[in-house]
Parts: sequence; C-alpha cells; structure tokens
Amino acid sequence: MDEKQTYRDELREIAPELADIDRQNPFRVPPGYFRELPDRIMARIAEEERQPVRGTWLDRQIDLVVRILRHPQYALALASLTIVLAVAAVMWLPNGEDAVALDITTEEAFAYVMNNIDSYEAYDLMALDPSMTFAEVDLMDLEQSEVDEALEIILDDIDDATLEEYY
Amino acid sequence: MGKYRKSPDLVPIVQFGLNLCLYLPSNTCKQQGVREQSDADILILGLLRERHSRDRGFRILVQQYQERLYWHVRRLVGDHNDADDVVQNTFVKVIKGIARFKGDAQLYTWLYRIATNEAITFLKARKRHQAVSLNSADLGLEEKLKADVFFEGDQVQRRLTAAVDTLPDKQKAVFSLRYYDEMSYKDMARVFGTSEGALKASYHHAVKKIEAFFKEAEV
Repeated sequence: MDEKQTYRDELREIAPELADIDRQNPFRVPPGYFRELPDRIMARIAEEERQPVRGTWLDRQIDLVVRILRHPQYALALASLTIVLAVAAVMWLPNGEDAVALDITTEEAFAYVMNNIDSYEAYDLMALDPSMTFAEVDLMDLEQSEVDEALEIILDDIDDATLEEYY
Repeated sequence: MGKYRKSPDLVPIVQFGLNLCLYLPSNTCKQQGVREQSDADILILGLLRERHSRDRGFRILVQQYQERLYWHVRRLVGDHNDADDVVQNTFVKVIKGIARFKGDAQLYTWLYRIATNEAITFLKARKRHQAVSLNSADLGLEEKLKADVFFEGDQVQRRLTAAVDTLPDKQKAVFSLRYYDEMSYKDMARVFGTSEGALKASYHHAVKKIEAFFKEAEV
C-alpha cells in the first residue's frame, strides 16, 4: 500500500474529522522569496567568514569554557571542582549563628550538597536540551552512565549562544 | 567517504549527474555503499568536500532543501519574517557543521533535525520575550491570521493553525512532520533522536488535542 495512504488511514482512525480537512498550504511568501534566498544565505555566510573571531578577553574566556564543556571529561572535572568549592564553603561556615539560622548542622548541609549538586546541574543542563529529547525523563530513573550519555548528547546539540546564556 | 571525492575536471559531470537525479523518481538514484543517501545528496556532499566546489555545493544544498525546510519552520513559528530568520540560521549552522556530518544518517533528516531545533529554540526565546513584555496582549492567533497578508487560508485553515499552535513545541513539530510532511516514524526518530513508539504516542496525543480544539470551537 502507498505509504502516504497508510499515514492518512492512521489519521482517519484517530480523528476522522481531521482527516477530512484539506491539507493545502495556507501560508504564502513574498514574490521571488525562494529565488533570492540562496543569494541571501550565501552572502550571509561570506559575511560571517569575513568577520574576525570575537576578540575581547571576556569573549575568549567564554569560548574557552564552552569548548571545555563540550568534552564530558573536562565538564566532569569542572563539576567536581564546583562540588569541592561548594563543600569548602559549607565547611567554612561557623557552626554557630549561621547554622542555627538555617536550622541545619554543617554535616546536614554537607550531605545535602553531596546529594543534590550533581542532579541540580544535570537537571539544568537537561532543561537546555534543544531537541527536548530528555524533557520528560526523570533523572532518578536513569543510571549514572545514562545520565552521562544524555548530557553528552545535549552538549553536542546545544548551540553556543544558549550555553553562554546559561553560564 | 574518500571515494566520493571528485577531481576538478569532474565537477561539471557531478553537476550534470545531480541535475539528472533531480528529475528521476526518488528511488531510482539510490546507491549501495553510503547509508541511505540519495544520489542527489551524495553529489551535494561530494561538492561540499572539495574546496573549489564548496560554494557551489552550498548553493545547490540550499536550492534543494530551502522550500521543505522553510515550510516546516513556517508551520512551527507562524510568521514569515521569523521563519526567514530561523531558516537562514539553520543553513548557516548546516554549512558550518557539514564537516561533522558523517553520513551515518540521511542528509535530509539531519537538516530537519537542525531546522527543528532552531525553530524550537526560537519559540522558547519568543515565549520568554512575550512573558516579560507588557505590550504582548494576545489578540488570538485566528484574528492575527486574518490580518496576515502571507496567510490565505479559510476559516478551517485558520482554526487548524490555531489548534496546532496550542500544542507544546516538540509535539507541534511531531504533528507537523507527520501531518504535513508525511514523514515516516523511522525518519522522524532520526530527526528527534527518540524512539518510533514515543513519536507515535506523541502524534496520537497531538491529533486528539487538535480534534478536541475543533469540537470546543463548534460548541
């Protein structure tokens, strides 16, 4: 059977009224749009190739961080360093007034950070997933190797602007 | 992929072959050896891999796919100017990233993947912008479409477009690829990087929501 007919039969089975709607394309483009588009795209690419690489010190540092984060092993090292710094900050807090104000002990705070910081960062990265492939995945259901694999896919897919915006 | 490299003298022949393939039935040009690439795509990739024919390859790639990608993006973002921006960004990314395309997927599913991701990223940014803008009073999409000079559909088309617009972004893309582009679940799975089963469920839910939208509008 014709593939397209199979698709239409599938639709008719789910929603017969929808299957009866004419599928004509109601959208229009300005006259000559598709004739001119290749020239516009080629001109834009040529223009971008002429542009020098972003040159400020801050831009170069951002580029460096983005490049590092594209490699899972380096991203993991950076995450580990973040954990160490976070733990050090928690340990540095006196056990006196600050801890009392939070109504938790240093040990509890330490345990909280250790238990949550990985998931927190992973959740945030997964929220950036441009394809939304993992949007409905619960991290708690995944093995660590699966989380690593998912983050690797997301870091591959994500565009520089979004990643820079996040960091 | 070295076997597809062409010497400078072969470029006109490649161009001729491409033109020939574009006029033949879609499966006539299928070859063994490269995973499911059509001959037209093999020839485009061949042109892109040589420095001297790279620009011509880009141009043919754009000419070959611009309409399909544009209409896909337009159905997702609605407005022509937005679709134009997203399509241009898509092709710029394609051209910058073509060296990373290893040929283990069909070229067209890879292009649709990039275009879909670009459109979804754009929609998220637009929602964030609208959420903070006090001047973004929503007139209702059906009313906006009535005033859109680049929309010529009737009331049913306007309602269908408005119904599709109520779907979550990814579900909207799933519906569009299946309903309008009539893409197979197998190819859609490559576009979305997810299972065929998940896509079937997503399409089913989308269709049911659209059907409900129509029924509600009739009441």
